[in-house]
Amino acid sequence: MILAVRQLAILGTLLAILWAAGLLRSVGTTGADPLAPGAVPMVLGFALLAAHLSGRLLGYLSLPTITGYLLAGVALGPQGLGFISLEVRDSLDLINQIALGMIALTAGGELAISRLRPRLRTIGWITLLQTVALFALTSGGHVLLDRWAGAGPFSLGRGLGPDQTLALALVVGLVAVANSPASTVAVIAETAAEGPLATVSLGVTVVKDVVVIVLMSATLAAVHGLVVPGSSFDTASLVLVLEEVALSIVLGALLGAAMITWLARVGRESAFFLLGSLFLTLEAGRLFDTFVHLHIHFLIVCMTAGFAVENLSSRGEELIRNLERSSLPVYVVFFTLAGVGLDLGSLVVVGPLALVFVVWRALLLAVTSWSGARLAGEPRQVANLAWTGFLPQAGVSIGLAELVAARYPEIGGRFRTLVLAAIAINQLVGPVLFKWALRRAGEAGRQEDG
Amino acid sequence: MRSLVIVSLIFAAAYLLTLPVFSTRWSFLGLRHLFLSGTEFLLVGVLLGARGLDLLPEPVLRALDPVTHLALGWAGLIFGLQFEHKMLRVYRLRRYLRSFGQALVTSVVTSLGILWLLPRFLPGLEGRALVEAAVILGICAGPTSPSSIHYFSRIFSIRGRVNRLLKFIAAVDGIPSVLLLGLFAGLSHRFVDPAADFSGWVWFAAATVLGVVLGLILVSLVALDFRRDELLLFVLGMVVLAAGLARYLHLSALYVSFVMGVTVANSAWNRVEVHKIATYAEKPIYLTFLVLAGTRLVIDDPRVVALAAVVVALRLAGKLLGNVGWRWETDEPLARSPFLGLALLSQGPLAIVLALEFDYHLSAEPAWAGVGSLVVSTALVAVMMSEVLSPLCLRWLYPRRLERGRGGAR
Repeated sequence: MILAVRQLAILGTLLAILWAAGLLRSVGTTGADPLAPGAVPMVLGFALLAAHLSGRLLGYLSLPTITGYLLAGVALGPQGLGFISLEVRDSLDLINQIALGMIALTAGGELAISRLRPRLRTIGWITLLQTVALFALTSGGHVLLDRWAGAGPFSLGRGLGPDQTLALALVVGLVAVANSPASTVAVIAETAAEGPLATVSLGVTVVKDVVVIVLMSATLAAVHGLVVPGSSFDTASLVLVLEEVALSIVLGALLGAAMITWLARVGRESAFFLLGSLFLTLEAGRLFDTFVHLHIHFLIVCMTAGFAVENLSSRGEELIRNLERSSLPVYVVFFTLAGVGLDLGSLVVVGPLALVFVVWRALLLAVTSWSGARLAGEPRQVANLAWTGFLPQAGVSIGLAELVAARYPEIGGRFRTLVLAAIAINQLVGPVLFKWALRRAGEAGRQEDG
Repeated sequence: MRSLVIVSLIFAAAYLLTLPVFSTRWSFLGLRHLFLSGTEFLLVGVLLGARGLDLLPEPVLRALDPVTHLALGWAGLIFGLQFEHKMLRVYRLRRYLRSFGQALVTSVVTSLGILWLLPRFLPGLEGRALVEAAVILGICAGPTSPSSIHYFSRIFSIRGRVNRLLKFIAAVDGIPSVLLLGLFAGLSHRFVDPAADFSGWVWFAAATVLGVVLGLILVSLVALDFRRDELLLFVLGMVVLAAGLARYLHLSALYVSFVMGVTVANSAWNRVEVHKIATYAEKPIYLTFLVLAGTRLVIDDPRVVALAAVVVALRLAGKLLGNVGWRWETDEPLARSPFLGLALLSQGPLAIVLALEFDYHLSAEPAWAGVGSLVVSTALVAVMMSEVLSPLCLRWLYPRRLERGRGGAR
């Protein structure tokens, strides 16, 4: 209790300093420019401390710290106190990308073949069932709901023709499949969990991330055929995405090889090398995008690199563990900025529908995970709890919502609002449930024990 | 393209110079013997910057602004953490006076020399911009980097009194420069933010108070029950916050963080842990900073190279003069050598941080826009030249003219 009060006092003092700085600055010429020199580092430093202290405070309630970071992001963002404006968030995009790369590297590094081998069937079954069932049943469910709801609050496709309704149903189905490897790996890292539930959850989220990218391309090609009059299913774009995924995996393998070589030959200044490599990979992606018109999936590149380093180098595990040990600031930055982007306002607009979507998705995740795990012969406890690891949603879903809203405004407007509302719920509830599940399965703290 | 050729030539020269200095075998790692404080990473920055491969264009550099601030603040924190009063009392006052005195003499000699010579390099430069450029190059010339002295004493196994004196001077002679920077930032506040109508002394006092308050907050944070990764986060967050706040208020990030470090060193129970974590994370931050600083380096302007050579010569004269003037301070005969100043030629991170801080601070001044890049580049090139010359000077001094050790060159 005393510790909590002390943390609140520190938080209050920091807020007072920021407020005083704002006052002093307004005495000068520039006033309250969110991108004034020094403003971005100042806000970043404050956000790091405030978010972590919030995470610690939630920790006293046995909630995951990333929920604290997300809530701090909401509180400090434009929907709350306004310390982190959208301009500041956008200017931190590069740092956020590098943070995501480090999380993805850790996610890949967690997938040691020795641990994965006994769970390969489980991962395969759950991925297959979730992809097929969530996509088909959510799309179908949406069509039925839309027909039943008419113009009520549960309708997303008011005034759309049958083709457009189907197109909308397809993208809704796709969003249901997507999940957030970053959240999963963050909760596993926080709880130092090790065991079948942690391995299966991480394995499935990583594999599904690749599957979702391919599925997204196929879905968008079909949507294009349905929404744009006179067009048909675009197979060329599907092939292109497959090429991009393959290229990302190859680049990831090359990055992994470079890291392995560095570890073996140099062995020093690994952190500097790692940061430099991630930055250069982002740059390479930008160059590919500009000159070759191929999109490099940074997340896949980093996950592949982490996987290669962990499994092909004798010092790989050491690197991944070191990365984990100093990754706290990375998680804080990433999830606080994610919190800034959480659109709680959208809950007001499409609240009931978002709730239906979230509950339906959770139900399907529970059924498919249970079935997949049982088919692979996993114990009942793992089968019962596995679905919790797939609830959180973030980057890919937001990207898809933005893309659809930009490309197909006729179906994208309310869809984007629904996705943002659903992400807000899933991202806040998912980690809480997953942490509870890892504890319940007795896997929390096993990394330290080992 | 010219920058690429020049960088290649510098690397080639550095390879060649390792031979007479260390008689080391011909290898890539031989380079390590010449750039002892990692300044070769400035050249990596040149390669990646707009004058090289353009992998770090202006928008990317702007996006990495928090990293630069982190490094500025980190340098201040680490420097400040050294000054715990119990440790400081171990040494006599006159030893401090000697260290500060020689640094101030070096700064004054360099400033006056530059004030006289700079208009010959940049005709038309006059008034405040000229004085600012001279003062900045002078203040940057003051501090000594301890890396060369540490390296040589390890190589030659030297552990005598002169060696200890040199290490002491190199450890503390940055203080006058950091204080002068803080003072400069305060006193010149009205030029960079004319609407803020407090006096310069008030801003200087504000910077000091801000550093103390932030230091006390860091002390409170590290007094919580924490894990090692949390400690890293607290230090990281506080340093970025301190540097950002300082810049936001047109104060010096280095000075505010330095005061924060001194406060922590003198009031935190866990000061040793803070120092350990700051040292642990120093290298990646510092190397990244050097690369980013390197992108601002204009290496292909002959004026920069010539001016940097002048700065190095003036600095050398200042170090010799400063140490000759304080010879009476020690009763160790070897330490009275008129050449002792040669051992203090090495310049490192602090000088680079100082140069960039001045440039950041003055970037809002229109008069500074024309000379800022030239002055920063001159300071950085001078650091690199000093880094290359310093091992040569030390090799000439050690072990014949100063103390003898028990080992030999490897």
